[in-house]
Amino acid sequence: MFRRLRRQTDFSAEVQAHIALETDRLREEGLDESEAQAEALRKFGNRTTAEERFYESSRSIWLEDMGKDLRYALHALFRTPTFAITAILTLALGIGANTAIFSVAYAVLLRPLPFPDADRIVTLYERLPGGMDESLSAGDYPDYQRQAKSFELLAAYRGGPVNLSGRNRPERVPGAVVTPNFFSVFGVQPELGRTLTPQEDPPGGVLVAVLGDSLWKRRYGGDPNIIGKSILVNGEQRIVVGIMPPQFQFPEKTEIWESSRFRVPDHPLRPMLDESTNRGTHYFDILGRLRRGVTVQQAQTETTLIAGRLKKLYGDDEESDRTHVVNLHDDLVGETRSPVLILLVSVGLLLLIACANVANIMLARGATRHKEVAIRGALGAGRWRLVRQFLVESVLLACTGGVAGILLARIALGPLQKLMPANLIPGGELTISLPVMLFTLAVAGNAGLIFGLFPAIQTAKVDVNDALKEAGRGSHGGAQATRIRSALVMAEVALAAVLLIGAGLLIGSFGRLLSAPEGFNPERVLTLQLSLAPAQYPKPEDRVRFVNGILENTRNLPGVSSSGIISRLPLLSGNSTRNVDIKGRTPPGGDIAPDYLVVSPDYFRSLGIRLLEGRTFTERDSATSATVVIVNQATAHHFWPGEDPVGKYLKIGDTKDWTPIVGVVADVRQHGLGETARPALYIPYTQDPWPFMAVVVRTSMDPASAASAVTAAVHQVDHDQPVFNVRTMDEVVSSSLSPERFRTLLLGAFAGLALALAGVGIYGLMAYSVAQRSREIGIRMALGAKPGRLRLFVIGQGLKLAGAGVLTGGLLTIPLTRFLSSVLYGVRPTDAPAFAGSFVFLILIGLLAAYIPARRATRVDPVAALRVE
Amino acid sequence: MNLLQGTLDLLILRTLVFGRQHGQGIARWIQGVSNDELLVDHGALYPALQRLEARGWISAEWGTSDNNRKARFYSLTKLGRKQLSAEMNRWRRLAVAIGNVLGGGEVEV
Repeated sequence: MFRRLRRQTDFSAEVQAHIALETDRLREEGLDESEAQAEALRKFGNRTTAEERFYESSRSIWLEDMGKDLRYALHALFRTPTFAITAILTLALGIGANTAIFSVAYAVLLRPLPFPDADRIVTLYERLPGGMDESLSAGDYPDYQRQAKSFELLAAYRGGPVNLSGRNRPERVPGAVVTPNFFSVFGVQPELGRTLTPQEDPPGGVLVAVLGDSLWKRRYGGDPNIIGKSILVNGEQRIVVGIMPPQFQFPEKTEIWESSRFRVPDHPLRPMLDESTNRGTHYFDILGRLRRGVTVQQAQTETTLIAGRLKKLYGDDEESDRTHVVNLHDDLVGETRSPVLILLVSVGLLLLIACANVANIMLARGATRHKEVAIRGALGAGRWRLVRQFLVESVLLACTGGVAGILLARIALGPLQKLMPANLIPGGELTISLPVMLFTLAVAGNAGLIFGLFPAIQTAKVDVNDALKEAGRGSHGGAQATRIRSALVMAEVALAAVLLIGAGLLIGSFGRLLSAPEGFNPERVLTLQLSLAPAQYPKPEDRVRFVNGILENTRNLPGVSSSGIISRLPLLSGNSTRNVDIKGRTPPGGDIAPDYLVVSPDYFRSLGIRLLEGRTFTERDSATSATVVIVNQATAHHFWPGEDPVGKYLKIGDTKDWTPIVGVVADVRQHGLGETARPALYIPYTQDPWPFMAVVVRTSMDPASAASAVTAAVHQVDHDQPVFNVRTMDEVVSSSLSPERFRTLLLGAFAGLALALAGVGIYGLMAYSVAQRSREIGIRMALGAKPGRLRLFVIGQGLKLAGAGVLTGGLLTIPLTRFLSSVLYGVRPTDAPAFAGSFVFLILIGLLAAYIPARRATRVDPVAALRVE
Repeated sequence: MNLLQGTLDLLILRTLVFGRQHGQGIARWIQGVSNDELLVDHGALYPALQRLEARGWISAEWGTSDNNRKARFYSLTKLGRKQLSAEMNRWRRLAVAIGNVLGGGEVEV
C-alpha cells in the first residue's frame, strides 16, 4: 500500500511543464506570449494549493482513505448512539471477561518463571506403580547426583514454615532447608551478601540462612548490617549470609532458606538425626538443572536406568525402579491446567455470543443503510472501499469495546484474585500486563472482523440500481439477510446451551461435593495449628507434656465440650504414610502404605468421627504402655475384607513390634472432599509425639468466638509458641473447595451472561421482524386475524429459533463435555439434569424474549400500519 | 459546467484508453470531447492523477511532447483498465436509474 513517494520537486516540474504546454496551446490559438502565459497560470489556479494537495495525497492514499473511513465511521456511530452503546457494552462484557480470564491463564500457565533458562530447571521424582510421584529417598539422592550426567547439578530442598523469634514478636514464615547448590539451579544472584557455598556443606558446617527481600524489609527493617548477624530460627542460631531479590520466592513464597545439618535437608520429625544414608525415607524434593541440549525425556531415561540399578542393589519390593522428570513450570502448573483451559474456552464462547449479537444488530442497521451504500457506490466508491467502511466501523466498535473491556477487567481482577485459590499462581499476582493487553487487542480486532464481516458481505452484494429502487419502495433487508440473522441467533443459542450445560455440570458436581459425607462433623469446631521447635522440645516427653497441657487448658474453657490434636488436619495438603505388614500376608488388593496419623484420645469425639468397632484411645495408652492402633474402614476393607480387624496385629513402618488394632473408625475425607478415603492408621500421640499438630476444639457456641480463649490457653503453656491458621472447621472445608468454587462461580457467571445475551439476541430479531412486518400484520388484522393467533405465531417463531439452537448446542456439547470430566465429581459428563435444565432455561428465555414483541405485534393499529410510509 | 464529484477519475481513465498522455493533454481532451461543457480545474487534475497513480490504476514516466517539451506522461495499467470498465458500467446504470426516477417525458416543475 505504501508506494515509494514522489518528490515534491518532481511534482513542481510537472506543473511547470503543464503551464508551458498550455501556454504553447494558447499561443497557437492566437494569444500573444504574455497573454498566453497569464491565461495558463490563471487556468491552473492556485499553484500552492495544488502542491499542498499533492503533498497530502502523496503521503499515502491508503492512510488518507482510512482517515476518511474513520471519520465517517465515528459520524455514523454518533448518529445512532443507542446502537453504538448497546454494541460497545456487549463487546466490553465479552472482551472484558476474556481479558480477565486470560490474565489468570497467563499468570497460571504462560508467564515464564522469573529465572534465567527456566526451561532447563526440572523436578526429579520416583514414579510409583499407579502413577503417583514420590520424592527420592535421602539415601538414593547422592547416587543420582554422582551418576546422572543429564544434569549440571541436582539440588534438594524441603519446604516448611519456621518460627522466627528473638528481638521482635514471634512470627511464623514460609521457609525451606536447602542444599548449598540450591541457588545455583536457578542462577539467581543475591541482592546483598551471598548465597550458600560448599563450605556450608555439612556435616559440621556453620548453620546459615539466606533471607527473602520481603522478610528482610518487614522484620529487619531492610538493615544491610543484618549480614553476619545471627537470628533465631525455630529457637536455634542461624547466621544471615545474604538477601535474595524480591522476585525469588521459591518454593511457594518462601522467605528464609536455611543450610542443612547433614548432606540432605533436615528431616521434619528428626531434625537432629542424620538421615542421609537412609534409603527408606522420602521427605524432600529434588530440583535439577539440565545440561544444555539435554531433553527432559533423555534425563528421564538416564535416571530410570539409575533407579533400576539402585533397586537391584538396595531396594525392597516397594521401591520404584522408574523416575519421572518434569519441567518445573509444568510441575507447578500441574493440575490447574485443565480448569484454567476450560475457563478460557468458556469465556471465548461467551465472546462469540457477544459477537453474534453485535453482528445481528449491525445487520439490522445495515439493512436500513442500503440507500446510503447505494448512493456512495453511485458516486464512485469502490466495492472494497464500501466493505472496508463497514469493517472500519466494526473494528472501531470492537476497539472501543476493547478499551471498555480492559477497564471492566481491571475492576474484575480484584474480586477475581480474592476468589482464586491462593496457591493457583506460581509466584506473583494478577495484572493486566503487556502480553495480556496484546491478547486483548488481538481479540478485539478479530472480534471486530468477525462480527463486521456479515454486514460487510451484505454490503458488497448491494446492487446500486436495486438498492436505489428498493429505497424508493421502502422494502428492506431481503430474505437472505433475515436468514443470516436467524442463523446467527440460532448459533448464539447453541453456544449459550454449551455454556449452560457446562455450568450445570459444574454446579451439580459442586453440589455433590458439598453434600459428600466428610466423615466428620465440621459444625462448631475451632482448629489451629502449632509447630514445636526441636531446639525447645527436643525430647518426646517434652512434647507430650506440652500437648497434655494445652488439652487440659482448652478442655476446661467455658463452652468447650472436648478438644484433641492430630498430626495432620483433614483437608490440608501433605501426607505421611507407613508401610505395614499384616503377619506376612499380602492383602488381596496389593500392598498399600496407609496414611499415618497421630492423635490424642478425644480427637475423634472433637471432630465427630464415629467409632464403629472396638474402643478409642484413653489416657492409659501411654508412652510406656503397649502400642496400639486404630484403623479406618478403608484399612479394614483393604487388608481384612469381610473380617473384623479388631484384635488383628500390624507391623507399622520400621517398628519391630506387632501392634494390635483396638478400634475401627469411620472413613474421613482426609485429602479432599472429592477424594475417596485412603486406608489410614491412627496412633496415640503419647506413643509417637510429633512436633507439628492441629488442635481441634468442639464448642457449644460459635466456634470463632472461642478463638482468643483457645489461643490464650495455648500461650499459658508456652507463651512464645506461635499459633497459626486459627480457623473454624467450616472455614477449612470451605477453603478446601475454593478451586471448585472458583471455576463453578465463573462458569456459572459466564453461562448467565450467555443466557442474557442469547435472550437479547432472540428479542432483537423478533422485535425487528415484527416491526418490519407491521404492514403485513396490519393487513391480517384488518382481514380479521385473531390477536391470539398472531401472538402465537410470533412466539412460535422465537421458540423455533431457540429450539433449533438448543438442539444444536446439545449435540455440540456431547463431544466437548469429555474435557470437563477431569474436573467433575460424582456427575457424569452426560448428566441428564444438566442438559435438561439448560434446555428448559433457554426455552424459557426464548419464550420471554419472543413474548414482548408478540404482544407489541397484536397492538398494531391496522390503519396506522397500512399508512406507514 | 463543473464536474460532479468523483467523476474526474473516471474521465481521466477514459482519456488514457487512447494511449499515453500528459496532464495538460488530458484536460484539453476532456474539454474538447465534451464540447467545452466540462471544464477541468487544472489545479485539481494533478492531485487526481497522483491519487490514481497511487492506486496503481495509471503509471507515469517523463517523456517529450510533440512540440519538444518535457512532460510527465500517464498511461493506463491493467488494473486501471479493469477499474475503468467497472466504473463505466456502474455509471451507465446509475444514469439509467436516475433517468428513470426523473422520468422520460416532460416534467412540470
